[in-house]
Amino acid sequence: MEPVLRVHNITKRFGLNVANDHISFDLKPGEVHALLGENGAGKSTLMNVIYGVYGADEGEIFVRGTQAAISSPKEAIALGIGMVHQHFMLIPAFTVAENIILGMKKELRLDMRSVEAQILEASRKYDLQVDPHALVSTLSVGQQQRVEILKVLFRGAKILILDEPTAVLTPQETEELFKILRHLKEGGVSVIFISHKLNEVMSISDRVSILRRGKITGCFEDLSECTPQVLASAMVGRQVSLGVEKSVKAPGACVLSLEKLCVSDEGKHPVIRDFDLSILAGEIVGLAGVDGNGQSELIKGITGLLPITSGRLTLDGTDLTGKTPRDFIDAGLGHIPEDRHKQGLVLSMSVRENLFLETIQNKPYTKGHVLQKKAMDRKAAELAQFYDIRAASLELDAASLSGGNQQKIIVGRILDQNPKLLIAAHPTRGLDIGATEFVHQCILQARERGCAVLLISTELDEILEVSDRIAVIYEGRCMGVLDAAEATRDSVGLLMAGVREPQTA
Amino acid sequence: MNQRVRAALNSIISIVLALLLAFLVIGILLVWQNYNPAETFLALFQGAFIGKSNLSASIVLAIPLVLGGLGIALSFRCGIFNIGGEGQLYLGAFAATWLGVNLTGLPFWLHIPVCLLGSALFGGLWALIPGYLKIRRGYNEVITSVLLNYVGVYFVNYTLASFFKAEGALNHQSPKIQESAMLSKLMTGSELNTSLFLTLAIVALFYFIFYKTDVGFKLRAVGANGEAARTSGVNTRKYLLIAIITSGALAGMAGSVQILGYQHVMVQNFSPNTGYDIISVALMGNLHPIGVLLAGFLLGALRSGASVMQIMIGVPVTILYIIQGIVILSVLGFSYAKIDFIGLFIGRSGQPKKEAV
Amino acid sequence: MGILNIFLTPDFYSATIRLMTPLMLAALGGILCERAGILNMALEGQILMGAFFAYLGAYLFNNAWMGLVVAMLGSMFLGAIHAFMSINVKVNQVVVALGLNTLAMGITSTIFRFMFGTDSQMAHCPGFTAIRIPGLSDIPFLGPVLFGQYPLTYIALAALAGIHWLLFHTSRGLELRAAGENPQALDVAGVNVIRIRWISVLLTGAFCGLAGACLTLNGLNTFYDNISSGRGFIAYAAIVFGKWNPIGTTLATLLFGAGDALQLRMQAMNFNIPYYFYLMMPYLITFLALVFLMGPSKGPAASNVPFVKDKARKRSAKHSRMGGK
Repeated sequence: MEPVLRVHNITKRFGLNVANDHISFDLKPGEVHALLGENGAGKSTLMNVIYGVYGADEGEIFVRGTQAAISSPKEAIALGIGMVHQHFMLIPAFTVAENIILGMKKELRLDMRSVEAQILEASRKYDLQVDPHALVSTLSVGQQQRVEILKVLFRGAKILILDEPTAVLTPQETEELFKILRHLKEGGVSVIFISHKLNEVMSISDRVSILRRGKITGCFEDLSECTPQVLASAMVGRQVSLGVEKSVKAPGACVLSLEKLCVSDEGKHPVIRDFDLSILAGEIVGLAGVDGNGQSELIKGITGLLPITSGRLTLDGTDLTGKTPRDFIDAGLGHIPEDRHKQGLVLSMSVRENLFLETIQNKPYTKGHVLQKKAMDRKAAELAQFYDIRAASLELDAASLSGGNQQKIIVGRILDQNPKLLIAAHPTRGLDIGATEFVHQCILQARERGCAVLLISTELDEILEVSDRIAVIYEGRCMGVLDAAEATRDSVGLLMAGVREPQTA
Repeated sequence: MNQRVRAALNSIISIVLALLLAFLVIGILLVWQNYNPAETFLALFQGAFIGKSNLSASIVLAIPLVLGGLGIALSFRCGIFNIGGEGQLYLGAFAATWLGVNLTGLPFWLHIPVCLLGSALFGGLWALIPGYLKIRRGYNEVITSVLLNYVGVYFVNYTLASFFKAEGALNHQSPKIQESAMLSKLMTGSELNTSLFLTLAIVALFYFIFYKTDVGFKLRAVGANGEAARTSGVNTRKYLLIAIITSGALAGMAGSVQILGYQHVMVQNFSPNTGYDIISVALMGNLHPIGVLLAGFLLGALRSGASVMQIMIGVPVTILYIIQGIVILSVLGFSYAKIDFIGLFIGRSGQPKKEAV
Repeated sequence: MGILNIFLTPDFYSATIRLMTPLMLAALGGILCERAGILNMALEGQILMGAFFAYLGAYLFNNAWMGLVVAMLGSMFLGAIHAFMSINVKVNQVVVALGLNTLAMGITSTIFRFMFGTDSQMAHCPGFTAIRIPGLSDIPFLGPVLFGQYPLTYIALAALAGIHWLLFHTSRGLELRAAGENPQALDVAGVNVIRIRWISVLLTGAFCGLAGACLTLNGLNTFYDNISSGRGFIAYAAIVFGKWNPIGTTLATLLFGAGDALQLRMQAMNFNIPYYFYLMMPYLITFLALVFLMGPSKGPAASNVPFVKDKARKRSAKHSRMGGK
């Protein structure tokens, strides 16, 4: 059968980085073709090239056998290609109908009533329930995804690209999505499904292509002969142990204790409600949850960045309720923030300066307010070596480093202060497998030293591998704390979806 | 090549190119109006730099521009767009003049600092209003500070027409300040005075604090990425307040040095548009203290040269605003487009590798 | 007594509308590019350009309506620089505006002096006269207030209706607002963000041109340096005050216009208040209204956020087309 989409020798560079290196790939009619690869392997880049968001530096794209010149999403849409981005391309201030119709109408006059009627009809046809009149800002993440898919189908897409669609879903919502995809497949839609989660890929795909460091390293036509291990080693390029070596260690005294903690977001809306949690010295508590369930506000509340509206927070016995971020740091907090570009680094300052963001006012780096360049240079060189920060010069802007090395700047400077409590928020987001392993090692070493660790991640696998105990957050509440040894994907997944198992005791 | 040398060379090249572009545009205007561009630019250049009196006049005009520009550069680097320099400058000058007139019997070594501090205080407090509204309550500081310019200037003009008016004066102007509040002149036949040393000292101090102390480190961090600074324990609000108050204080001093230095009485509209020119200086100087020093001198020289040019050739001084506008826009354009002139000249070989892997 | 009498005369209301017209035109125009995500602090400079070029055009063509055309072109010239710098070069939009305001002052003052000499001997140009709408303008009280205004006031009212319709009842308006809320979302919806933003900035320029023309062609019929004197910033304050909505913004300009009219009436009535406080009043009222009558408000989400488009897009299209042959 002739492929509906074929890309040939696509190369895409960003500066000196080669994101896609002569990639060839095809999609057959009515199939779900998964593109599997680690973070940073170049999957999203390739899809954005196909969709016209990026231009390719080399290579050709053929749609239904004819060569296509796709220089903008407009042309991609005209060719029947639709894409649901990992970060939804919706406008929160607009209604569902306005978001769907955006850019579709040539004529000037816009009659929202008739548009809404058309959308309702389409939503019935594809069995994707949406309320056209609702503001997107009031929808849950799952509902927003449905709007995105409907938006694409409403434009008549026959080729559907889904970029990490399950990253924001609970395991149960993922099953819902898969049902929709199977339904679409029957209707003749071809799907490219991007993921780095092996199990999902195995359950939904007809074929799997593996992308590693910008190159296609394999294509598995028959999944019945495949195991997750085979896919994983193809993805990473070597044998990987799916698990982290960890010593057995009895935890110590309570370091962080949260009692009925309430935190509001910047707009003063209450988000975290009556959150109870305690973390002991020498243990890693993983906080699982679907993105957007209050993780950011919880992190900001327990690092002093957002005020605690009620409840109590003690760190190592000191009551820090109502204190400033500085007080938290002085009391022994180390914080690896969730967004390293916005919160973790000053990108326009040098690597060297970024190593001292918390400690600059301390001796020996400052004496009588005067910076001590020699002491700083010595420390910077030491940190760069110990934490393997690879930069041509420490005087370069932090912006010029790769994501992995940027994260090492943060991890290095935080762990060097020997914190009693480490808050690690999505510490491996966007890192390749090597950097991820390194960061995990650093966190485990901190645990060995007796540091209490709160690891926040939306990657359930990461949580299950690294944690000693697992807390689950759902709509700003703590749904429960499980022992890692007893936790399973399903038991955690249910809690992530807000379903509490019937109490057995 | 050293990163910093490279960056400095790049900004110098960009300002030179910007000036060339500006003079090209002015040249075209002049040809259109049947002026001889060469003759005009020669007059401008001579009036700015040639001869002791011209050069010293340039420096006199440059002093308030450098002082005020320094403060604006600080506030812009911290992400607060203080456009209120005009009001801060007038109120600062008012405070200094009032203290200079009404405090009697003080020795000069006390009287002058008191007047300067008074101007810094008034300018700083006037800047605190938009600063507070921005930092604590999130109001757009551009709008509030511009509106306060008009309020401040009209208030000062009112005082000069009423309770602070010199008796018997025909114009609306203040009485003369006491001798003890006057800065001494550096040479006869020129208005150049000791505020030159004050200015140079403040530039040096500013550079030292900004680049060599932990306070400066935090100011830079807050300006470049406030959220990251806050996450790593910096009290960002405190540093933002420091920045806006300092910028107001320096704008205030940009007013007072003119009164204490050579004007000695304050007349209505004694320094028109200087509060906006200091923004130009800050931007032309790439918000860097040394850049501000050079840009301030450049603009002061152009101001001084332009008045000579207007008298000799008849070309209006207002062409300076065109030059300022073009230079600001081009310098901004070059820096945001990240054009690496050195790289263009010596080839890419001099460029450091992005990262050694 | 005294002060209350002001509110009883039609003169006060008529002056309010006359004084709010330039603010209204500039603010309504400003909404367009603000809503498209381009922060416009250069309204001031654009009004100044409009004022001068309206005068120049009316003078050279000896026709006030030609003045309007030239005014719009002059303001749009400044708008084009604004658009290029903030959309293409992606410079911080606040800072660009500061440069543009200075440039506008230079261009207007310099050309004025070149053409009319340094000792500006007030060369007059033809201007507009108030249009009395037959019949309606004879209604007592309301007639002179609403139906005896300059043509630009009627244009401003039409602009209000037009801009409201454009923004909220057309596809292009939806796209324009999307450009200011989330340009990436608009891009993946297949719409050219850069074109939308350029057009909206140019339209803002055209409206500021009209606003500037109000200052020179409505009775004054000449020009002087810096004639806009902060009106661009007051107009911007009106946009903030009106929460980026055309109707709210118009009401805000009504408030500011009324403040200005009150000040003028009070001057005429010789209250015992120093002259400088009258001069200060429009700015002070705007400031106080902004700070006390409403809290800080947020504009469009992507205001001052440049849209970054992959540079290789065009190249790839060309490349494919060549390869296709």
